[in-house]
Amino acid sequence: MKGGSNHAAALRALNAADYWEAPTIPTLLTRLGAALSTAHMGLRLYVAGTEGFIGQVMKVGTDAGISFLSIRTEHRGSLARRVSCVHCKGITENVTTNPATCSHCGLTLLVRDHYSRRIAAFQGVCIDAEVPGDVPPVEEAFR
Amino acid sequence: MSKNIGMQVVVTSVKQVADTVKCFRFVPVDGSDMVLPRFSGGSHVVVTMKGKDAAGNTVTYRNPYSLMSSPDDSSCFEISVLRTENSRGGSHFMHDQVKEGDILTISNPVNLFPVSAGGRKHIFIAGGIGITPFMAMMDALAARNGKFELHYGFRSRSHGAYWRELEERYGHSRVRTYCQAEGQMIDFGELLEHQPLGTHLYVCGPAPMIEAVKKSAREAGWPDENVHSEEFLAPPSGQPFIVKLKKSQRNIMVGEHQSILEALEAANVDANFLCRGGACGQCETAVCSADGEIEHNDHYLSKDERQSGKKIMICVSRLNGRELVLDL
Repeated sequence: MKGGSNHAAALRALNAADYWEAPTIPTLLTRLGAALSTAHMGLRLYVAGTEGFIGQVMKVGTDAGISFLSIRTEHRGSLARRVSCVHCKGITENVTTNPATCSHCGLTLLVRDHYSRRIAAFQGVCIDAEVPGDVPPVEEAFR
Repeated sequence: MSKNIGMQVVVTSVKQVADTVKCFRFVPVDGSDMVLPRFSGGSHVVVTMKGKDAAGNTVTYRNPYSLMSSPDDSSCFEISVLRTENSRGGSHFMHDQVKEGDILTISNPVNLFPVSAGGRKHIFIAGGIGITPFMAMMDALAARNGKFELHYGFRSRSHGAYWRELEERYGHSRVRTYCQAEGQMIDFGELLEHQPLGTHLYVCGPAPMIEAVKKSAREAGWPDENVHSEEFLAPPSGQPFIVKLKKSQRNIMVGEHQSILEALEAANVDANFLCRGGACGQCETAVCSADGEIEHNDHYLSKDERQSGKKIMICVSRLNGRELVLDL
């Protein structure tokens, strides 16, 4: 992935039990899920990356039965949020502003600090439901 | 809390189930409209007993006992009591005094040892009387097709309670017994190998067993979040000392075989408690000063909290010294 490619040779040289360069985050998550489905206790999960990436890896881990408390994480890079629209349930990636526009239904969403581990996303709620169009100025909130 | 002590129940059966273990069944008092509260597997109740000490004085004992009956059966509660050799009075009272028809006071059930809801598989390791919380847990898991196995060690076939029933009910694939007299030991290291991700481990038994299991789990790379244990301690005896209550300006003597909590109760001081076995943290009390060493006997305070000397769990810990000043 971007920024990590120059470390590939060094990482490969560490001879991990399994080393794989994923072309995209979704393929990485799928492969991780498959690996965890046959794993045994004693395996520990460590994640480093952006806010959204950590959340998605933790979801794969907890879906495989790992307690979220035992997953070690280190944040690197963007704090952009994954936002779940409570109205259409669509997930919008890389949200940096508040309010933000739902990429699925187009509503203007207030991005709340309410986070769901189950869907690995923050909650977005329509900000102008009572007076459509009455929307506060858009500010960069999650860099 | 200290309010949680009052529910009267009738003893409807007392059964000797092993050499030194008796099973007691409790139901609501006849004619009362009381319904037993629901509980989850791993819960315990605190039983209040009014006995006599060696000098013939009335003493109140309150001991925690795990509920072992089915959590799906709200008609009765069952507990099992081991007659301990160095009983402070509680287990001897249960064994020697309590008969069918007696009325006892018990607390509401409290669960400090629940089955982890997200667990994919549950491994129970019991030593001796430590089997009791697992009986309720296994009953609940079996009812909803939960995956579990029990590894149950005991001194001899006649000392071990319920192993025959458990083998019959759950089969040898789920219940393994280890009889010390026959040279059988649980190999914790081997047990922890090749367990699927999401397995939770629960241990209840003597302190050395709990420590050995925790050590094996750490060595096998299990996260602490997946390892659960419960051990109720009886308050250890020690030298008598004085407890000075700073707020209420009272001095209370704590006897050799008494806990601080028991001494306070005997003096009609209403102190908080829940498990009375050093596990739950409810009786944590601020220490103003101590002119000796605090003997921390609980499983609750962290190493740093112990070293600070600012906190004490009054149900099991005591002072090796003359005077302890508490913020009560």
